[in-house]
Amino acid sequence: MRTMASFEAPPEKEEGFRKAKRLEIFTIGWMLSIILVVFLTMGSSQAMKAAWVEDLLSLVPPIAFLIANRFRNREPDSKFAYGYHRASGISFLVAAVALTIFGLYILFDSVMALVMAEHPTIGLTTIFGREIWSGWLMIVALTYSAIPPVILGRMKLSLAEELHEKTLFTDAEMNKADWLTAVAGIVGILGVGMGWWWADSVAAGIISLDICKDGMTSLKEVVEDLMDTHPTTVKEHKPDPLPERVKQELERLDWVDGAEVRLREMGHVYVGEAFVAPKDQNDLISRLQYARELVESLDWRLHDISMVLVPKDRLVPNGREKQRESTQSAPRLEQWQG
Amino acid sequence: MAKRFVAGGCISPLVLLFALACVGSGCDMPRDPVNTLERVRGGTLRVGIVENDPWVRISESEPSGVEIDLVKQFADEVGASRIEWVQGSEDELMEVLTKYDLDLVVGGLVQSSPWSKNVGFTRPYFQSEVVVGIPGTNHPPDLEGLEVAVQPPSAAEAILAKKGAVPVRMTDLSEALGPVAAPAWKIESLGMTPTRHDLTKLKHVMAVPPGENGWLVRLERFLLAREPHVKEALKEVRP
Repeated sequence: MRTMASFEAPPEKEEGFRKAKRLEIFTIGWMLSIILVVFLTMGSSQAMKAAWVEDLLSLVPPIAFLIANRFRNREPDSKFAYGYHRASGISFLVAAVALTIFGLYILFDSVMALVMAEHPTIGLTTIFGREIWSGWLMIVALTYSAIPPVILGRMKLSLAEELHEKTLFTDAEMNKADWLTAVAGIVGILGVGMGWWWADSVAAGIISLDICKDGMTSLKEVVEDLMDTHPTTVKEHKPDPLPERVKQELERLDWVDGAEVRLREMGHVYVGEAFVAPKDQNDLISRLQYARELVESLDWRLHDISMVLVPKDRLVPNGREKQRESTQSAPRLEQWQG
Repeated sequence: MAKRFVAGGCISPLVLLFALACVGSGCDMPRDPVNTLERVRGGTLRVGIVENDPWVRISESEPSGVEIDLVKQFADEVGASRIEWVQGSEDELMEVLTKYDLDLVVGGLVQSSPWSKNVGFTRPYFQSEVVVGIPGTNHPPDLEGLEVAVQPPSAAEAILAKKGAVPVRMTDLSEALGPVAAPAWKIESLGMTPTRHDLTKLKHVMAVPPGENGWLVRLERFLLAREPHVKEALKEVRP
């Protein structure tokens, strides 16, 4: 079987990937320290447990990224002719399912705690030879858990957009929102301190809703990716105008009568086919070769685009053209570009 | 995700945390959801007691024992006007405690009790190692095949058997002529020498109603300060 061409990102992007890798390794290190600190102070607080699970799960996107990053430049071979770009999708699917299930579990747990009117017991602890209420220590731990992710999240966000890295983006977004978990947890613990036993479970419930939301968002995104959705932009999550641009560039060639493209995302590269209807049949091989080079030079993400020659009336599959014009899909494409 | 919140609120999380911390430190935290501490002050302290020598001894007149003394001192400290003793089994008393109809349960409770999830346990205020003690100074090199006296019920029995020793049940350890397994303080009061063969650790706690954190913290502070006295009191326990 013919494999796909091997992919090499431009040098400045490679530098970006190296930076992203460093950031993700940092993230894992910080998260591990946070996970340890929160675990040690957790006690019987429901909110702390929820925050801990969320911290634990925020390890998943960085790990998924690092795994994918290892496979990213691996050459396609006869066994995996389309290359290894999809590796991240698989790890992400697993992570998203786990995230959602954990979120639901904690939500159930907190609702049960509220229904059963379970009063969280939080007693004394000794730190540096002094006895203090453990709640204070929990608040310190939660504050610690809030700060590094927010900083790292902001650093990763712009990099994710530049590299068209959705795993990195999801990770950055999750990190950025992490402080909300910490604040919810702190409010819960302070509530318990005030004698409001329900505050802890309510805080845990809020955190678990956030975990569920993270999970659902990731699940939706990864399923869309694995289903070859229309390529989307990383930040706004809107249809990418790039396929339309490829089509327009092809139509501008003087020997081209009409063009269509069909692209999908594989990791951070776009692959697929460009369908070209020529005006005449002169010198088609070198013309196609030129067109292909032109297309691939438009954007670094466009990779191994197959050029397919079709008669003009077959640019759109049988009978679909009428259907397409009669439905909303054409105006929607226009609207997407705006 | 949380983007909307951030954009809408524009509140720096640190400012928020700081404000909350200030609010928090102003008042006496933690407080009790069911106001146990406040109610006991000037009122009745309702104590569940489980017979467990030397911690709680039940007699016809008044209960006595190491933990009974501690409870009396604590009642004085928090200003309770009287103490109501309620005798029962551990399960009965704990069940009542979860319904807030008792303020405290004592009776040689240890941290490993399965009730720890349903009621509030104090931090261990006294720990004692269960060890093998010997009458003389002739330390046995290992426990293999050694006959060791234990006073049932004791978790040490199973641990001894697992380590290859032969546990022998005795109702009164002071009559033992050979090695015994007992908490370190008891080995001392029997006039024996503890060996390096430790079997398990007993972490003594008291139980309060679940979530009564103000009450719990008050009791924990009291017990921590009493730890040396507990050791002294155990030395005076007659074997």
